[in-house]
Amino acid sequence: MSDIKVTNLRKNFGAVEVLKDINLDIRSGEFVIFVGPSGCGKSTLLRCISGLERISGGALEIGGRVVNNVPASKRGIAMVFQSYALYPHMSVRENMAYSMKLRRAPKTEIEVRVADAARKLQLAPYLDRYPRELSGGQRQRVAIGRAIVRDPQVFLFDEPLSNLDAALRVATRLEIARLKESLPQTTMVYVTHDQVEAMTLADRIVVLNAGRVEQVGTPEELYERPQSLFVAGFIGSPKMNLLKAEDGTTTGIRPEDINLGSGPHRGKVAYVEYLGADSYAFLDIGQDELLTVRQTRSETPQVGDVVSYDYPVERVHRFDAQGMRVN
Amino acid sequence: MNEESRLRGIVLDVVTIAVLALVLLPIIWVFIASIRPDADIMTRSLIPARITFDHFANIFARADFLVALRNSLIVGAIVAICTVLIAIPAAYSLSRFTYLGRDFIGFLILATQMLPAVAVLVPIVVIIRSLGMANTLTALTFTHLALGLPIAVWMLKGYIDAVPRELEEASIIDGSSQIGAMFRITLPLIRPAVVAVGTFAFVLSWGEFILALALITSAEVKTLPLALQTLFDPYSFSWGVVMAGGVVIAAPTIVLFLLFRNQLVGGLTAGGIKG
Repeated sequence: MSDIKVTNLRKNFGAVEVLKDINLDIRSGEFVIFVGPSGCGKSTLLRCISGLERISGGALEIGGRVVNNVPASKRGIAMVFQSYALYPHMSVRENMAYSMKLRRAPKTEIEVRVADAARKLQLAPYLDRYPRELSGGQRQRVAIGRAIVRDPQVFLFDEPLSNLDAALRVATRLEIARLKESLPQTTMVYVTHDQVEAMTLADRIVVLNAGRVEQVGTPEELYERPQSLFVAGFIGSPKMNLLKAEDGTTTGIRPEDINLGSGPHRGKVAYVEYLGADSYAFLDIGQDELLTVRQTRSETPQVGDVVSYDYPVERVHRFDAQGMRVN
Repeated sequence: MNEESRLRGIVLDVVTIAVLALVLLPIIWVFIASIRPDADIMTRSLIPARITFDHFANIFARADFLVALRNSLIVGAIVAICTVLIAIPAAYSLSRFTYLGRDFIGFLILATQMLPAVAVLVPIVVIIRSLGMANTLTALTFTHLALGLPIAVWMLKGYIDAVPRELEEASIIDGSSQIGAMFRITLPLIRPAVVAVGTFAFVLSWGEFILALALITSAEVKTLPLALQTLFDPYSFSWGVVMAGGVVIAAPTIVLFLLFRNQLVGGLTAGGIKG
């Protein structure tokens, strides 16, 4: 059992309340991703779960045991850091064996576990190298390998891909997805600001905003039924069009749900972004913000065109003046 | 552009050589004078026509000089070891923990460096005399420690600051305590700085003159700089012997630097630790 239960968790840094009354239930074996803008508290929440930060209030349970006062080393967790945090003076093998050596595990067991993790992550040829002799992607794999060797109940990732270039990020993302499949019993909690990572990897996503949980749900639930204006604007790229009415309510419509060519509404194409497979047209419809429309390659209009558009009513999201979903 | 940068290179080389000559000339002169017969020492040429090791034989034949050599080695070694043992936890605490008054304590430690040693000389001597510790190596060891520790703490704090906290956090998650992380991760990474600080403390104590002069009068506890002073004997004065004494005083510093030069240079330029 490695479920995580967070009840009324608060975290203060001096007078500043960084996490406010967080409640979360993460099931055993689940892959949960925390997303949110910079400073929303997602990394702090992860560090509270890890034990690197003490919580200021509330309760934190891992595997049914309250761990508020349990040190990080006794929580049965492993963590992959954004900067990899590999020990520079140790070889890859020593980095991976470090936690087991601290536990005074038998030498043969350490060797077997390190070799096993190295094979899983294609690190076998690099075991005797030092971190400085590895590329960014290899370092990240060593950091993951170091965590695997511990055979943790809970795996924590703090923005593990943000130091990698775009191509490597895609490759490592796939590796993490495969890793999750190979460790079905291990609960994984992952922090990122990258929506693609969140949408592709997560069983469930937790959207945080200003130290509070905005919404928890599967990627599909968050995308299809955002419960607040914040989630609507945050999840999805390009972001949802949010059209404000005079009474303070807001109508939201995803760029791909708008059909150009016919319909009761009209707008002028202000500019077009070509992305290859599809393109984004930005229409001036007389509001403060331009209306974003996602089009396939063949249907892209020209800048300056005045076009008609429409959208299916059932695809419209409505929010009240307080920014909460109404339909 | 290319011509200009070449010219700049040449000018910089000439300036470097000039500065080096200025710094090294007295040292070279001391060394050469120590192996010249007394009659040749005041000649203008730097290249010795005759070589003698009589001055060294002379100096090592003096019992008081040998006692001073032993005293200096004892005080220097203890000061170096204690500086490292005290400065590491102090610097670690200032760098890694948050507590009331931490920054003020750090400032106070640094502030002690704003006073020249001479300014605190009188109070130190009065305190040590009233404690009945004048003319002891213990008193000298403590004063040398007090002299070198503040700068040692600040030097080490800088190096510890440069070691990413995440490395220690990773170690803590891997199962060590905070102190365990310090010993297993941070200390090995700042080893060049620790060697640099230890060497610095030894050299500082080894060459210290003013405090030793004020605290020590008895021959059994004199240190090398004081013994060197006694060589200026108006009845049997020899420049060659004084220079040989100078060479003996300079030798450990040079040997230490040669032994640890990689560490020392590494210690001075460290900080670029990347995961």
